[in-house]
Amino acid sequence: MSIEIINAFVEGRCSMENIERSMDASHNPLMARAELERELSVEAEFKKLFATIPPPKEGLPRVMKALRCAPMPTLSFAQSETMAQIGIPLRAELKHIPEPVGGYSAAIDRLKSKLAATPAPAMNRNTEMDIQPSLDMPAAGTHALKRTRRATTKIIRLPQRSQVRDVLAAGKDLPENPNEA
Amino acid sequence: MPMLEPEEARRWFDGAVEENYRMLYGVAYNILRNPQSAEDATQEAVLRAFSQINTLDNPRAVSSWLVRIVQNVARDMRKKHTPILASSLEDGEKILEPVVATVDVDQSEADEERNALRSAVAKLSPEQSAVVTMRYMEEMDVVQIAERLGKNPNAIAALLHRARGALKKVLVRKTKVRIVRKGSVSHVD
Repeated sequence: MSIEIINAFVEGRCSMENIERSMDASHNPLMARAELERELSVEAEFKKLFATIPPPKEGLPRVMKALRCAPMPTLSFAQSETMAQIGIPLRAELKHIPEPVGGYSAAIDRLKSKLAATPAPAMNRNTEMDIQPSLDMPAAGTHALKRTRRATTKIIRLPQRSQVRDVLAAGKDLPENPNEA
Repeated sequence: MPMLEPEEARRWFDGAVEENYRMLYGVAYNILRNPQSAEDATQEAVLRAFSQINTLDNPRAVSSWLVRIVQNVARDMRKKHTPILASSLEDGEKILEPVVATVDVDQSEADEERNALRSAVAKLSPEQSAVVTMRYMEEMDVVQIAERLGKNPNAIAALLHRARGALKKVLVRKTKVRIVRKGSVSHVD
């Protein structure tokens, strides 16, 4: 198994099935497995390195607080346009959705009272199981269509060798139309 | 064509910072090896980036741009505070961890190995550093990293491959040194 396949697997560019298949196909599956294990241990070492980074004490809120105090620089037209095209990242966008007046519970109450005041709409009383001829029966209404005669091509069967032999044995001539044989 | 109001642009930048904060802090920590300094460096870099946002040529590459600024700020901080940071560079996590009475040889070797790896990460290019940090700290895959950095997944795979290669060299060298050391100890015994 080549080191490229192992690297691809470790870097997330190839699946476990692929690696198993190439391991089986290699000349020395044990050696291939050992190579893979070595690479995975290196990978684990890298993960450990980043896992030992202690979390920040104040973190993001401190940065955001400082950012809010900083004056906004003027942007060029092109920059502003590109930013608008990219869009504001979803998380930030969701955070800035203003709450409805009086909070969400008050808004739900208002909605419920509006619904109660609205007259019920006319309902279609047909159920899903009801038969609707025009839709459920594919042949419905076909009797009204005018029938047309279809032209078919006549199939000519060639005589079998045995039939020809019998005719010749009887001392007769072969018919012009082979279907009569 | 749509245009952003100043307040929307501010929110756009806030979103970019929120999305990348963990990665930026990780990059700074690998250079400074001190949580407080890393936090300061990240904040300083974000403020500097915000004040220079009108120099950002490609807003799609805002993550790479922020990483570059964080790296510069963290490296400057390390140079300026050499006497303080030199000690933390040598002892690294020992300062932060409780002092143990017995000297654990394996532990100190692991610390040494980790420090060497951190130095190697600190020497990576901004893009490589960002990719490695996103991959191992945030456990993102190549496609997710590509989306975040506004690049092609193939380009990200190549960056990751090169960065891993550089880090692996350090790891293999350190492992060899450890094996040689252990061999000499057993020989003396």
